[in-house]
Amino acid sequence: MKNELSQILGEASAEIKNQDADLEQIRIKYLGKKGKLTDILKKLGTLPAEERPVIGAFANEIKTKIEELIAKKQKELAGLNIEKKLAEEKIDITLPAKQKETGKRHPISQIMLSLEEIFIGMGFNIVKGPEIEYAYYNFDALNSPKNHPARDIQDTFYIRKDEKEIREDDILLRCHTSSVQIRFMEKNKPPIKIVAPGRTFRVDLDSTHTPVFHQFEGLVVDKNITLVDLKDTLEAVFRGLFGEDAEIRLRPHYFPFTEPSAEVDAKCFVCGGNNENCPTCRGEGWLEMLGAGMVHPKVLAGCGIDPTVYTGFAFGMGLERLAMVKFGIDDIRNLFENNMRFLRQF
Amino acid sequence: MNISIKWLSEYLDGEPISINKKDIKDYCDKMTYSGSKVENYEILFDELKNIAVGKLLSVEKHPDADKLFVCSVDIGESEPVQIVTGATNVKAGGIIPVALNNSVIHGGKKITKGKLRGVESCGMLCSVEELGLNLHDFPYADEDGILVLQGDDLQNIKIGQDIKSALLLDDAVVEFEITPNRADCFSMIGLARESAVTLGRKLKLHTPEIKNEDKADDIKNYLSVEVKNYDLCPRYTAKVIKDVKIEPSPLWLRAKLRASGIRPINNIVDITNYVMLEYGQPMHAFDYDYLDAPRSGGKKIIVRNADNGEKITTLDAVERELDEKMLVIADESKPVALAGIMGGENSGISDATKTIVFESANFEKMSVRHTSRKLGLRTDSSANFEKGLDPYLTIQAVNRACELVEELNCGIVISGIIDKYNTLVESSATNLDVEKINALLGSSISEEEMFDILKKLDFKVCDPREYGLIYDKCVVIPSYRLSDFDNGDLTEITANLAEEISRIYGYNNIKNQTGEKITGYSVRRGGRDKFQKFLLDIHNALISNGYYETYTFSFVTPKYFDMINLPETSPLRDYITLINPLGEDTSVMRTTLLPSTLATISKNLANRNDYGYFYDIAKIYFPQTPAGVADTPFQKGAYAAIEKNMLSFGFYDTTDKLNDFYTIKGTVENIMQAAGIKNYKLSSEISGHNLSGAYHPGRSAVILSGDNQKVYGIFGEIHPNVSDNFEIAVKCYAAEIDLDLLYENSSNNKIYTPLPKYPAMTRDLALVCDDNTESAAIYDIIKEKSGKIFEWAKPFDVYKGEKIGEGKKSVAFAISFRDSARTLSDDEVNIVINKILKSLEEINITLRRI
Repeated sequence: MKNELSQILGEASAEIKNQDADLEQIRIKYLGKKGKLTDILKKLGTLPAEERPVIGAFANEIKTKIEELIAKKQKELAGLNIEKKLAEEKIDITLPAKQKETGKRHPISQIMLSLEEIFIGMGFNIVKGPEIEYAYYNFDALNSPKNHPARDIQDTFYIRKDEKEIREDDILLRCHTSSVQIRFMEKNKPPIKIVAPGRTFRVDLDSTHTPVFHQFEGLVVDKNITLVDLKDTLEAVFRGLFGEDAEIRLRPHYFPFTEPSAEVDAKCFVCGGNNENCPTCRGEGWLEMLGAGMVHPKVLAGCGIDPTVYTGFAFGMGLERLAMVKFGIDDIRNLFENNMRFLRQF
Repeated sequence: MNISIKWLSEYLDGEPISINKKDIKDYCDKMTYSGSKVENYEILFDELKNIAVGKLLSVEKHPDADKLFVCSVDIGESEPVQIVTGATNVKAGGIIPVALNNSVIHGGKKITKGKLRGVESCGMLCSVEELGLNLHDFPYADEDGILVLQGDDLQNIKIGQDIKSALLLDDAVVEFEITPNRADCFSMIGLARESAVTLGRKLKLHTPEIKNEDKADDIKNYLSVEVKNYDLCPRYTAKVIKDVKIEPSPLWLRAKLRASGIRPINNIVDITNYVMLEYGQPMHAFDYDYLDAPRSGGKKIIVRNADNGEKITTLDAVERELDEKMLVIADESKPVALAGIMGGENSGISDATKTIVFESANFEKMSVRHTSRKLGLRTDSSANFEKGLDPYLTIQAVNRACELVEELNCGIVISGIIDKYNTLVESSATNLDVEKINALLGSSISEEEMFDILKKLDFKVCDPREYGLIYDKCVVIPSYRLSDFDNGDLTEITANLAEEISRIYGYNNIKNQTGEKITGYSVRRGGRDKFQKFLLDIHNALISNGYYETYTFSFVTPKYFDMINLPETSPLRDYITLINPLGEDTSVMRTTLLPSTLATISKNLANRNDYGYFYDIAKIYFPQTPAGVADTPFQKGAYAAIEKNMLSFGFYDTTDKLNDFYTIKGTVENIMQAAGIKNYKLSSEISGHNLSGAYHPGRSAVILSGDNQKVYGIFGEIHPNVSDNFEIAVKCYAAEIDLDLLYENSSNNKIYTPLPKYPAMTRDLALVCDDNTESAAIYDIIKEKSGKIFEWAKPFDVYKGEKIGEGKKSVAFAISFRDSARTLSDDEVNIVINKILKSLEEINITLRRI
């Protein structure tokens, strides 16, 4: 009987091995109610009592083995099936994506946000001021002489202008964000540490000028503020903007509201000053970035801050220019055309 | 200001600056760093190569060509060269420019050896044009022929010499951007001084000397001057020259003027231009005979204000009408010049001029500017006066002019000078506070270095006691720098001196002393304020909804107000107008952003973009007082206008017709969510809104606060007429929201609601109602009647058709009920449903039965 059982195992395992679909049929054939193994087990009673447990145990062992073989084969077949299925499901991943298109901030805003981030990191507050201003805030309080050419109707947009004389209460569209310095200093005493991004206006329109543009103003007033502080601050800003290798240089210049005054250039971040034909810096190696200087004592005094006690620095940069340089935009007017094909690029 | 490097070098001790790109660039960089910014530089006549001075030994007819000549030319080498020319003005003995074999002439044209009609030609004889010159540079030259050098121009010339050195073409020009505080730098001497300090060289200045004045004659015999308005003419200086010979200027003078960008005219005019370039002092030379002589004992010049309506015809032959603010130079009967701007038509120098008056005056800058602007007449002279000149210059300048007259041998200087002035500001002494200067700069420059720099800049170090001052250290500001120094206040002068010292010391050489400290100012918390954070949230909501931020001009065309159907009485028509707009299209400050957004949509359609989603966060502007009401007088802290922060957004989409009113409604809801405003309503009753005329009356809504008191904004489909006005041929949707109002009512309180533990029970109801019933009305009843087990309800289908009947529609609602404390039973939900249906029936809304 033992031999018979071993033979059944041999038959079953051979059959399972060759079967690639209906394993249930095999299970029924051997283990079913009328299966071969069951048949043998039915004969168990005919055996002598002492052999029954031995053969019984062996029969169970065989049953388990067959079940295991079936299970193993089943798993094997399932594996084959899923692979086949997956192979059939292959798709063309180069077909267009389905997406919800998100919008974008305007490139000028992106530059503005980068700068705000850098300055907030250095402990600056962001402040805003009006765009329609009295000449007082735009010129007089900034030590701008009455005969300053910028006051001309050729340069600044006016809403109200006295015809006979140049007045503080002429109303205009601010031509720089420096007016925010004055409004802030009138209401706040040192220490002052602010930046003022905003919209500005000048009578100008060509490939590098638009009548509406944006500036980013900065002002620090405290005891012991020096020209070196200005340099260090601006260096930190340009490293934040253009990377740790960024370099700046200061060139002496003139602004009525600062003394000493400087124009600040950044080392060309495209060629690093190493390409005579660089399209970004036109071979200069430097890019003119902003105007800056130590706040003129008259400006401080005019806002009620004692210039013998406090000193300060201020700077202002054009965001359009920065955006054009950083993104390689050749015509400033693109920034105000709002063409989707343009806006999507940034 | 353009300067000739060769000329500049004459003022600098040591070797002249070499005319090559490297040295010139090096010079320009140094000047830029010390405060005289170089805009541009150019090596002049750089393209000319291998052109020499030659002498024509013989000129013979070409054997095979009637119009050609075969020349033998000495070019300073052992053998003469043979050159064929077509020019007819060549004769043996003539000294001419010769482009040799392998040379380059003006325009980059290469000249090589060749044969002309079988005769070898080893180069080319050059005309003025072929050297890049013109007849102003060589007045005697033959326009159509070869440049045959003549007269004094032949002095110092050697045969075989390179043409560039022979004709003084070997020069470079540097263009400086001079800041308005440095009027003194609009001159060779001013820039030479800056150059000397920058390069560490000694400045060589020359004091003009008149050697051969006619002592027997006196200016008093010719002229007297009366200045009637010293405010506008602080100083008037004049000399008279007789026996004038008008001729072309010598080569050196013509070359200097040309390199400086000024066209040579004749000796007298050239002298005045030369002196203006050298000193920055404009000079005027006028014909003495043109002055009327109503009296014996000489003629009289009167410097006076013009009469209103008085007329003068200026040198450019234009008759100009004057006003009383303008200053004229007049004789006793007529104005002969516009002070500091231009001479009168007939007073100019002509070949017949015998006696001239050299005027070297100081005119007040504002007055010159007023006159120049008003008449639209800008000259080199007026440009210089507008910068504000040092009145001490007039004497030096007029003496220099007379010196040049003698040097050029073109007239006899009459002794005596007219020099009228009232009071002249004297140079003053001031304190040099070394410590304060270092404190402002963050530097440690020694006292010695400071004095050294200031001395080179022409400041005088002096003994304070001499000036009756109590300071330790004292310097005297040069007269020509006084206007740049705010006189009096010591803190301001310290700042001024700090700038002078630091720019020469080098801004970039001042270093952080400790190497550690980043900034010296106090530590404080920075960041955005609440409104700025609120704005960022709004920006983010729009971007995540697919809208692109746009930047549009703040001023618009007034036509926009009609184009968006604004009623004549709309408060949005109370706009601010610019006095001097660039054009009508940008002439008024906008009171709504909607037209700008529509214009953006229109432009994108014109650019053939299939779709566009845009937003703009910007200001709108209103006058402080309504039209007709007087403005309040200006006081510090006051605002000149009312400015409000607005949001506008809109879209069109030809790629996805599913995007419609409900899309923009979704964006509005997302914005309200970003603002943290839950209690708001949308109403189709838009007629009260300022912009209602711009919207489709059946497809638009206003956003109201929960209590109906405030209107946050309006949105919807744009009225087809308005779309037409903007040439928008597709459906488009837009919205405008008052961000200031939204911010006032915003909240960023976020409170957690526990997640549900018990299941919800949902029911769908198909309800038949009148076609014009708003789903919100049904929603309100469902919500009210559901009581506290209400979770949500939303319409998910709207059906109209025969089965429902004319004028009716079926709205299917899904409703969800939930109790946070237990599981609901069918029975209690059924009771609620019945209550809802009963209430709906009362207003004729019934359950749909099919």
